[in-house]
Amino acid sequence: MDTILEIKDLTIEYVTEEGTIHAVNHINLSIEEGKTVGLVGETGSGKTTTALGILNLVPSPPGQIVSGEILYHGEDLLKMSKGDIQLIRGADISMIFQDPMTALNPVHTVGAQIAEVVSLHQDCSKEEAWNRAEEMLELVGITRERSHEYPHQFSGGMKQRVVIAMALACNPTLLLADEPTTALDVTIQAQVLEMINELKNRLNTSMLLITHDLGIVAETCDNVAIMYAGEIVEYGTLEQMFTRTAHPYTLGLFESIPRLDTDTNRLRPIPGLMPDPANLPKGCAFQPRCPYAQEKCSKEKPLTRDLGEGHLVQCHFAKEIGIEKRRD
Amino acid sequence: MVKYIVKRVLLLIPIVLGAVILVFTINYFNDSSPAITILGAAATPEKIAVVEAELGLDRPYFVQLGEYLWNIITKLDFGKSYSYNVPCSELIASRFPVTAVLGLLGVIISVVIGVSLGILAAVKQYSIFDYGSTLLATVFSAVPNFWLAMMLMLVFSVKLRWFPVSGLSTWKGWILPLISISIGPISLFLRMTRSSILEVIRQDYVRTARAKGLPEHKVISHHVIKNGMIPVATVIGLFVGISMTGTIMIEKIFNISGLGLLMYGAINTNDFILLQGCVIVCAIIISGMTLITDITYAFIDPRIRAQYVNSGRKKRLKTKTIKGSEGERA
Repeated sequence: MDTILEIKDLTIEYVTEEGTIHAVNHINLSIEEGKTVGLVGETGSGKTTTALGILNLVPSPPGQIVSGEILYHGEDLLKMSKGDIQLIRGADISMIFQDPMTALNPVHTVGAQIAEVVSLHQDCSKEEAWNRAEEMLELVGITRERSHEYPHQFSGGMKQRVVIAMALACNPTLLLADEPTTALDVTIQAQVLEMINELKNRLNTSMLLITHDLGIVAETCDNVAIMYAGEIVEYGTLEQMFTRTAHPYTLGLFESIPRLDTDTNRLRPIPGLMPDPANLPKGCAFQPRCPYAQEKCSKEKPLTRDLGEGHLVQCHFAKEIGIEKRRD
Repeated sequence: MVKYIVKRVLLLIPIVLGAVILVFTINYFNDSSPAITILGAAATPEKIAVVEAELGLDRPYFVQLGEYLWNIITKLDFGKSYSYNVPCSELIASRFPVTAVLGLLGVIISVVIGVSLGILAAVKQYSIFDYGSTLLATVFSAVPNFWLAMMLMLVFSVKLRWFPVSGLSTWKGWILPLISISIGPISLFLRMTRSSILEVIRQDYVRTARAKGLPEHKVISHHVIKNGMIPVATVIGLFVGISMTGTIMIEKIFNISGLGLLMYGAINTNDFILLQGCVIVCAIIISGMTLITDITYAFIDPRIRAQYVNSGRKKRLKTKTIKGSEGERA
């Protein structure tokens, strides 16, 4: 299996007057052809910044990519010239944005917005581009006739379909889906996810799926990366994550999901809040909220360890915790 | 859309009618009599009464108003000027073109320079160009145009003798008046465009456009400018109306015989009927420009177009704003 995207030691900071915000800290991640990697974490953990970093679209200023490499088919996207990366954006790597309400330009028709990306990257006439745009709309379940309508004439779910059609119009090899269903209600969520999956399989596209919903992860992902305070604290296959959870934060995430098979009156949230990314604690970033924390955790930053079969975790006591958990 | 435009044009009738009645009424209750203007120093109460009777000013309010309106509607006749003793419509028709051309040229210059500098300043935010142009714009928007006109005249006409002191007889004569009336609007358009473009540039759909792989100049020209121009268009529309109907001070300083100078003279000589005619013409032009601005709006922004076609409530709101701006003017 070919690795199409490899992120190495990526660090992204936002430099503001109040201090430097460490949004993404030395993360490593790779995506294989045709696979879906889930990037899971709380709001503000650096998921979107990572995705924007891949396209080199981190708003600058205040954002800056401090270190790292993002290799796409072996070529570093961060070192590419503006012109070269513009050829990749929208054609090879495209992104579905979080909020469909604001992601579309209100003064252009949806057809024109899709046709724009087609004619930009493909050598074709205006009519062909428009035809392709209408085809894409039909593919996501919107009739051809509506291509001449403006975004405000569509509902939220329909807009998200348009955004998806736009992202897939040039058959990208990698799709960055930033919480594609968060703005939608549950019934539409399932439809949209199913649609993305179907299209992805048909075009053999790889996907980085950003979400905070473990349910969606279970349905769609092959591999999962858990992100906390700008770091990937645990990475593994879907099976490893769900059956051999090793990091206390991941455990906490699972425990905070209400269960149907036991009689619970209260949710079990992870106590505390995510640390201020401008002022990260010494040692392990999760340590102040961690029920298993020991003295070592507040002094020494845990290194990423392999628990076997590519199951990576960033915790001093991952093994012990895993064993203890399985005994429960 | 066509139905909407027709409706809006028809709505102009009550608005203009309202303006005429308002201006007429204010003049009617004015104490100083135009008979004094006509008679000059020789005015005695008896003579004044005779002249007023001749002019029909002793008749009841409604009779006078009715006749005035009737003459305007049927014959485009605004009455005879007291001081010039020729029909007001002739005077206005001969003076208006100069003012209109000067005003339109001024607005065109201001829009071209102000808007393009504003876009540049926004795109190159935090650059020296941005700081410099914003600073200059702030300074110049605080400078009154009549003062600037006098200073320009002092330096370039009196001292350096590059340009004539007054009149528009040669092309050189146009330059200083145009600069004086454009500097203010240029500063205003620059600052408005800059802040509006900066707001749009941070929108998600601009990020979407970049994520499509569009080069930056296309992102700006296709996705930023159209959205950013919506608020600027309103101010431009308003300025076209205001500039076309006279920049009284500038016309006075450079001695340009346009509508502004005509009004200035009418005020000085108590020639109310002429003033009345001028103000009504201004009101018609300004409300016409507001209408054009509103329609332009709809062409820029499909969301506004949809509101126009679908809802009646919005239209009523818009009509109110027109009336408001006109009241100030009159």
